[in-house]
Amino acid sequence: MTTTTALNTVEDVQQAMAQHRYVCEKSLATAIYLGLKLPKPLLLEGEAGVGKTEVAKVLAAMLDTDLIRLQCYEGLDVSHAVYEWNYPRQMLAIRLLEDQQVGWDVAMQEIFSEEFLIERPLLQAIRHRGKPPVLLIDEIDRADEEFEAFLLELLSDFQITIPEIGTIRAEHPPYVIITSNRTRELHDALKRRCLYHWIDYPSLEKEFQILTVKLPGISERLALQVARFIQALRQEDLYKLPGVAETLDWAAALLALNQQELSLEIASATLGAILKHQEDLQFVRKRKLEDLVSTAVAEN
Amino acid sequence: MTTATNFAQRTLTFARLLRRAGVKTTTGQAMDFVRAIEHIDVGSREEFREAARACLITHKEDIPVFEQLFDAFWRAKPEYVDGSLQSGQPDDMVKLAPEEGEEGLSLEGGEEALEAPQDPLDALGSVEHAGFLHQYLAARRPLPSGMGRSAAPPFDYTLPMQTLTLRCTPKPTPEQAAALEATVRRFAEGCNHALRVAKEHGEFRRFKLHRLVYRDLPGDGLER
Repeated sequence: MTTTTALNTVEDVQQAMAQHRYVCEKSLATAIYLGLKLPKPLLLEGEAGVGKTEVAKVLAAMLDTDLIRLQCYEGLDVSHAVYEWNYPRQMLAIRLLEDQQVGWDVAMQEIFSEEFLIERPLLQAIRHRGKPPVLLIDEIDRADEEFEAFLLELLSDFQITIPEIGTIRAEHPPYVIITSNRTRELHDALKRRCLYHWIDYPSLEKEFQILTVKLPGISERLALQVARFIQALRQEDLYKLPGVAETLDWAAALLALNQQELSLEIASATLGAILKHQEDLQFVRKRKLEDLVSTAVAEN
Repeated sequence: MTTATNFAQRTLTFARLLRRAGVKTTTGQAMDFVRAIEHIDVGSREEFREAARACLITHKEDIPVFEQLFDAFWRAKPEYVDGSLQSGQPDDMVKLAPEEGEEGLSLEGGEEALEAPQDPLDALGSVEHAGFLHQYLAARRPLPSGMGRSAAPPFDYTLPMQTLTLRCTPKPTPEQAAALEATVRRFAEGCNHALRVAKEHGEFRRFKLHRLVYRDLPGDGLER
């Protein structure tokens, strides 16, 4: 079992990531390592599907701790991110208390106790007991700027104030990973509180490595062909370029179809696994597919 | 001066240079890097660089500038001091003007800096600085030609963007010069228009932006 204490160098982190089947270059390992040591939130930016979220999952596994995930979306507010009162239960309790003829003060205390509190991810992360958890704040660029401002406060002192209960402070601050697809620029105030790493599309070698590590059943030949195809495809002017996630999906699909080698026919049939826009699909099928396949299967 | 404070000062100087080159980085981030040093293998230049980047850089676009300045600033000593230590650490000699009123993204004429007193450029003189300053200059935000530094910038050019340029001197005729300048202006106006639309719609994705501005962008004389 790996623990933080065993992660004493950047190489340790890199190795531990590899053990959990995450192929990561030294720059990312350094950023993760510093995130653990300083400790400081780590902001990961990159195109969709390059493995940002996966970093948090692997980190939690590496540290053998819980992963608490907050998926951001437009309109995300405190009641969905931090806490909410369990209103129906409170109503029930009031009915019961009415019968017992208790005083107002007692009733209030009763109703606004932790029993009626619904913990959302951020409060969970703060109240977590035992080892510090990994808190993943996923796709923060989707949330509103107001929420970003709120997060800023949380990340600086890891405490949350609930008016009816008081201030709750984290026993052990969680390790925070924030991801962004960069659909909008994040506020500088948030950025400067974080370590930053940009995850790029992988190189051919790295993508090949990822394929063989993640899909043990794949032959080297097919893995190389798939990697070459995707690399060439990323050079095209597409609406949405395929990420590593798509590469893996596609390779898994080819494996499921018992393919040992890429062919024009099978590539055309399974293209939907890598391209998710009709325009892209049509463009590639009509004009590029033949070239891409022949590039991919060419012997060097 | 102890090694630790010396290092901290050098780091702060480095952060300042980054800011001068248009990179948004703060003293707090620089101090994080100073703290990070305790945890990494400083013997490894690569690790040192990665740590600096993780701590100091928060925009993907700033990475090339960072790489350039890093190489120039945190260089290996022997190569530059020619084996003799008498000249001390060259970087110590780079004194920067205080930063009051300086803004990371402000428009600043390239030549203006040359005249500013206490600018690191004044320290030019020792050969070992030449390489560094050259890169420092190259990393500065380039201005479109025709934009004088006399008046306020005629249009806003504040996209946080870094472009590395190779400087060549064309020798155009007056007519060519006018045409070139008009082209540059047209182009910059087009960029500004796209930026305004992007800000208005909160849409920075390439294709969506294409769709939004394609019709408005006047093409006269310019290939789209």
